[in-house]
Amino acid sequence: MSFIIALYQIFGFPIGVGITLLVVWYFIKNPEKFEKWMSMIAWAVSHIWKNVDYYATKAEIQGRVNSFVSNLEANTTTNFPRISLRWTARGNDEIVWEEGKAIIVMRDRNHRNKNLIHAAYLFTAEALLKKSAKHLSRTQKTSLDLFSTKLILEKESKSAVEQFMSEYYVPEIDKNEDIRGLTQQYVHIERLGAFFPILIQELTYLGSKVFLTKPSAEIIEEVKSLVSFLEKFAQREVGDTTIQDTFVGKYMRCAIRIVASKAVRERGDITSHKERINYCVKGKFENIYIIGSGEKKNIKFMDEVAGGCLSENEGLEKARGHQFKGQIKIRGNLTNVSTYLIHLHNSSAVKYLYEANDIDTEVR
Amino acid sequence: MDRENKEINTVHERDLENLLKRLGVKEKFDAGEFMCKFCKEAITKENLYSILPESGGINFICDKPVCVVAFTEYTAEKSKNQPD
Repeated sequence: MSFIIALYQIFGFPIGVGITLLVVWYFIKNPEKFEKWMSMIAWAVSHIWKNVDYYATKAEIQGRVNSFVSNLEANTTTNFPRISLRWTARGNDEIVWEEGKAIIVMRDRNHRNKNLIHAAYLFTAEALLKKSAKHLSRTQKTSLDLFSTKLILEKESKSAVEQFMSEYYVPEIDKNEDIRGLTQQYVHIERLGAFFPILIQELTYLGSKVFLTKPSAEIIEEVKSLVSFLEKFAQREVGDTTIQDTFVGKYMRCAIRIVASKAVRERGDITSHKERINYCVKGKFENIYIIGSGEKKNIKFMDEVAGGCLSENEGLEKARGHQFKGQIKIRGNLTNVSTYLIHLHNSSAVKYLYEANDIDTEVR
Repeated sequence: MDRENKEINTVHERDLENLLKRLGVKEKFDAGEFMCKFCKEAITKENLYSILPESGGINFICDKPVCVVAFTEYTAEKSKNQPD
C-alpha cells in the first residue's frame, strides 16, 4: 500500500498535468466537441441559473452541426462553412437588422429538438449546400436540403431526427412525388457512402462554374442523369461489369473506378488499373473516384494505383482518401463492408467560364 | 480556401417582447395584425418561427413545418444569385 502511495506521490502530479494537457490539446483541435460538452454542463447549470440557457442553446447547436461538418470535410475536398448563432435583442444589445436576413426564434429548454431542427435546416439550405445548389431546380434543392438535414440529425440527435422525419420530411414526401423519387435515389447512393463524397462533391464543382449563357434547364436534366448514374452504380451487384462507371455530361464528367480484384492485387500488378485511370485523365474527366474494399491490403494496393497515376499525370491531384462503412449488393443481399475511396482531381480538365460554344466543343 | 462562418441571427423567446417593442410593432403584434407570409395564419408569440426584414417592411413566418420548408425554399432561391 505504502508503495502505491509513494508511486502516486512521485508520478501523480506529472500524470495529472499530462492528462490535462492532452484534454486541452484535444479540445483545441476539436472545438465543436468542446462546445458539445460545455452545452451539456450549461444545460445542467441552467436549472439553477436560467440565463445560462442562452449559452447552452448556442453551444449545443453549434457543437452538433459543426461536428457533422467537420466529419464531412474529412470525407470530401470541399471547405464547408461553420454555423454560428448570434443573439439579438438581448437586454440592451443592438438589434441585428439586415435586409433579407431572417431572425429565427429560439425556444426554451422544452424545445431543444425544435431549435436544433430549425437551425440545422436553415444552415443546410442557406450555407452548407449553397454552392452545390446553385444550378438546381427547386425540387432538387429542397430534396437535397431535407436529405442532408436528416443525415446531420441522424448523426447528432436521434430524438430530433424522429421529429424532423415525422413533421417535416414525410409530409413533403407525401405532398411531392418528385421529392419521394429523389429521396429514394439518395438513400441508395448513401448506402454506398457516396452521397456527400461523390454526389455533393460533383454538385459543388458544378456550382463553381459559371455559364455565361445560363443553360439552366439543361443543367437540371444533367443533374437528374448524374443522380441516376450514381444510383445505378450504387445498386450494382458485386462483379457486374455491365453497369456504367463513367458519367459524361455536358457540364460534368466523372468516373468511378473499382479496384477490388483479389487476383490482380495478389499479382501486385497495378498496370491495368493505372491505364484505365490514365485513360480518364486523358479524356478530360474532372474527377476520378477509385473505390474498393477497405481491407488493409486493398488500401495499400489502391494507394499504389493512385500513386502510379499521380506520378504520370501532372495535372492530377490526390484530393482525398478515406475509409468508411458502406453497403454493397452480393447475390441480391445488401452487405455491410469496409470501403475505401480515393478522390483524384484532374485540375487540368477544369474550366470555370463557359460560353454556349465551349460546352459543345470542349466538354462533350 | 478560407473557411467561412454562416451567422444565423436568433432571438430567444424571452426577448421577443423587447425585439418587437424596439422594432415599433409590439402593439400591432399583440393585436394579432400580422399574418404568416406563407399560410396567412395569425402570428402569435407562441407560433412565431422567423422575422424577415424585407423591402423596408417586416414579414413574419409561423412555425408550421410546411411554412418552415416554404420559407427555406424562398430564402435559398433569393440567395442563389447572390455572391458566396
